[in-house]
Amino acid sequence: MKTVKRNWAPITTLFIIVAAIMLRLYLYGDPRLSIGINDTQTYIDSSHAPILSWASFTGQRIFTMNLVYHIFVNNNNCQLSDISYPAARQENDLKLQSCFDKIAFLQNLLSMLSWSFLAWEMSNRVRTSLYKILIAIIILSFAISPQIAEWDAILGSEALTVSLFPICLALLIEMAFQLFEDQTSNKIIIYCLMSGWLIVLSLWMFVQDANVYFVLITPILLMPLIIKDRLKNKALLVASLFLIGIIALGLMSSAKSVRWQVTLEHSYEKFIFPYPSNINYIKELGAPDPNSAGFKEWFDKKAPSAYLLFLASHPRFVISNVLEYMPMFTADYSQPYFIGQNAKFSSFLLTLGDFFHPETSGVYLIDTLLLVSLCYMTVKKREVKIYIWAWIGIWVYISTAAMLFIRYFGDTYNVMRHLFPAVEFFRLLLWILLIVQADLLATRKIS
Amino acid sequence: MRLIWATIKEKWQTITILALLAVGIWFRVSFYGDLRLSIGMNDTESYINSARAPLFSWQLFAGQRLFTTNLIYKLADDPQECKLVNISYPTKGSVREIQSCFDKIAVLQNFLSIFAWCFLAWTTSRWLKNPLAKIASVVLILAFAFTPQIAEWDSILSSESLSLSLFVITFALLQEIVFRVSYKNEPLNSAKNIGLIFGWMLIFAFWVFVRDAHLYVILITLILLSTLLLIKKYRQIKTLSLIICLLLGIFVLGYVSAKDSLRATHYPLQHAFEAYIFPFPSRLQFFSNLGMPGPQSPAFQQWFDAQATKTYGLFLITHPRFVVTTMFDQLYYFNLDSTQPYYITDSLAIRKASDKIGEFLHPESSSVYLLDTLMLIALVIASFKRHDPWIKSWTCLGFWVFVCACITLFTNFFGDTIGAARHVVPPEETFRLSLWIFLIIHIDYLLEK
Repeated sequence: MKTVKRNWAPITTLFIIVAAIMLRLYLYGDPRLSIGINDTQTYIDSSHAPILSWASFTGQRIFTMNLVYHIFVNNNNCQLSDISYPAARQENDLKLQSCFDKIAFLQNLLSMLSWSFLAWEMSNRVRTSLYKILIAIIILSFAISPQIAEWDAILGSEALTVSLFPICLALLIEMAFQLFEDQTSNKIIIYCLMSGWLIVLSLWMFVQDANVYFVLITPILLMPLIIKDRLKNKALLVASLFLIGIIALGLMSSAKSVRWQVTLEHSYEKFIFPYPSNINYIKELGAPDPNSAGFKEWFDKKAPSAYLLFLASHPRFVISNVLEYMPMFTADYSQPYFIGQNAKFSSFLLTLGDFFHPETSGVYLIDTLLLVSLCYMTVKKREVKIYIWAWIGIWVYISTAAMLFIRYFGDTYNVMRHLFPAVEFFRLLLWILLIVQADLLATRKIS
Repeated sequence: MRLIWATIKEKWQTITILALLAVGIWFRVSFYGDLRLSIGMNDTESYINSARAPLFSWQLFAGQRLFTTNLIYKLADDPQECKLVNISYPTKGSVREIQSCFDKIAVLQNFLSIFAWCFLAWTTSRWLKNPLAKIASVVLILAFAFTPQIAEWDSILSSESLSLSLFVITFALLQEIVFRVSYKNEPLNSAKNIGLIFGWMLIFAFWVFVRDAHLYVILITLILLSTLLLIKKYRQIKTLSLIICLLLGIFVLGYVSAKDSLRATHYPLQHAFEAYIFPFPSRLQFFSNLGMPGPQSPAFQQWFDAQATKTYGLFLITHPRFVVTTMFDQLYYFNLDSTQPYYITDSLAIRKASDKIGEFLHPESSSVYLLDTLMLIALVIASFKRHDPWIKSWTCLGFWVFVCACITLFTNFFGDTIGAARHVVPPEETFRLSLWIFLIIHIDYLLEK
């Protein structure tokens, strides 16, 4: 009884997690149900390459997706029979499809585990009992609402992008607190956490090319920590070097593949070709006339660097474009591929989900204000706990912003689907920063 | 010169805030067109007619419209000179015009609005501690107020502009009173504070008499004030008892005049009954049990005029499931874009840009309610955890604003089904405003040394 009384908050959190998993299973039906989308066939085709070959990185699709599809869709019995085309108004129902049922099950399982892990970790690291419970409820409600949960039945890359991220975040939080607040001397724990984090982050990075730009920020942000410790913190040093290596692999394999060409063609069609001044800019960088025979050759070699240079040197174009298409960054990202399995609850759950997934540009402003205040506090107060939260906040914020930018300007087709994970990370960050701030408010000491 | 620099160095916060207020006012006056421009809407005629009652008569309270709007529409009292020529039909893309007499009402609404929001920005920043939080609060409040989602309502000849502006002044005055008394420990019955209190009561009364739905806010204010009587320090102050008595008087006046006017039962409550009661036999049965004659019977209207408000209130209290499911089903009403639909302003230079900025500050999302609730809970927890009058003062003010917004939202929503989207704009915007104010209070408290 004493143990229960002393540990009532973790026990309640655990109870909430179990209840959420059961609710999730009850509300969304059989987790093996799946549906294909217009991209699914490319995942299947791309996964035929040997898994540890260079082709697995430079194929039509990227390593993690190839790995998953290689493991589960590896024989001729795996026929994708249920494909949805929402643009053509052909939304089908979810079905049990041989082989793909395992992928759907994996996606669902990973989603439940990852969000539960993040909820547990956040609850563990917040100090006030009430907020321990509140953050668990908020994170699980965020994850269990259709805006997130229904993507797990879709045979695309979104489910893995969204599910692997909470694990990365939770591992990073644990590692940061172990290293800097708890000052754990047990190196095995630190190295286990770090290895786990690096593996999951690498797998996450190789789900979609745009994720590389998220990870790109990490070694840069780790640098001040390493320099501050005068290179004594070997764990961070090793992590940074590993990340630099993996980023190089990601960028090189992406450059060698053909997958960027189609997406970049779309971007050129939308952002460059309709504007004579923008065409002139790329011509100044050596591009031939877009209608000339030599353009294709130039495009294959120089298009990505010219495009990045264009975006970097045209901030006004970038800002006005983002503002003009702001509704894309504030949309309801409910999946459009199938109709809710449990129609009775579907609309109710979506309405409930609206509370946790704010469809407003206000999210970016609130995130910014919360993070700026946290950073300001870090400078003023020099408390380790605030320092850790501020670093994690900056990591999520800047990396997600980079990812959002690349996802928006990197491909103009299916842009809503591509933006979905990054926007949801901003929404998640809002709740995390808010609870962290409320917890600091409740526990702060007045000097 | 050295003296000037020393003053600037010492008072840089005040100077910056005043500069921001000046820039805000300049922006507001310059970019929304001539302040005299106005446009009528379907209710405007009723404001004009109701204002024709003699100035100090009972009819001014118990007319078709309420006291405050009746008083203001006295500016358009002359039937010959004051003809409403420009009435908006939202789908037709109307534009504003300078209309004789009504130009004065538009100017009044605009000036009141500019003053109200600047005053709120000033008082809020005054009681924050961190210089950056002070500046951020002014920027946020002015940006919130001077974007089209709020500012454009000031040209419309309706009650929304007054509802928003008067509430904002009420809140700003209350901040001043609460902080002076509880944080600065100034006596409640000092001459300055008595002046502020009566100023607050006057503006509060004006706000209450803009719409009947505001009346119920007095009740919660009374309950909150009565809790102060439990504290010995306040119990001995007669001013507090006097305030409570005066508020009670305003409530009785409002209640009796509303009942006498029949403006609630003709027609808002009829709309509500048609939508929520008549189509449902079980609900009809509830009202029949409480003495309601059949809706088709001749005795119905008499019963309706005398008993409908009270009985409907009882129905709402005893049917929480109905209340929750109805609100949940129609949640979109509470997340609407609050931009006015009555006129177009595409010709204004920076309309599009300011509208985009406004979208950042006026989140059209149900999350606002959850965020407000969480931030208020955080304030309550922080004020329970330590004895700090500063955080306690903000918590009380936050609680009052939150409850006021809840009550007005609830009564506006259930009180009339026609024009509900317009009626919920002021409370909805109060929730959105609370979000930024609560956020800045949190930040300020955390940044405090």
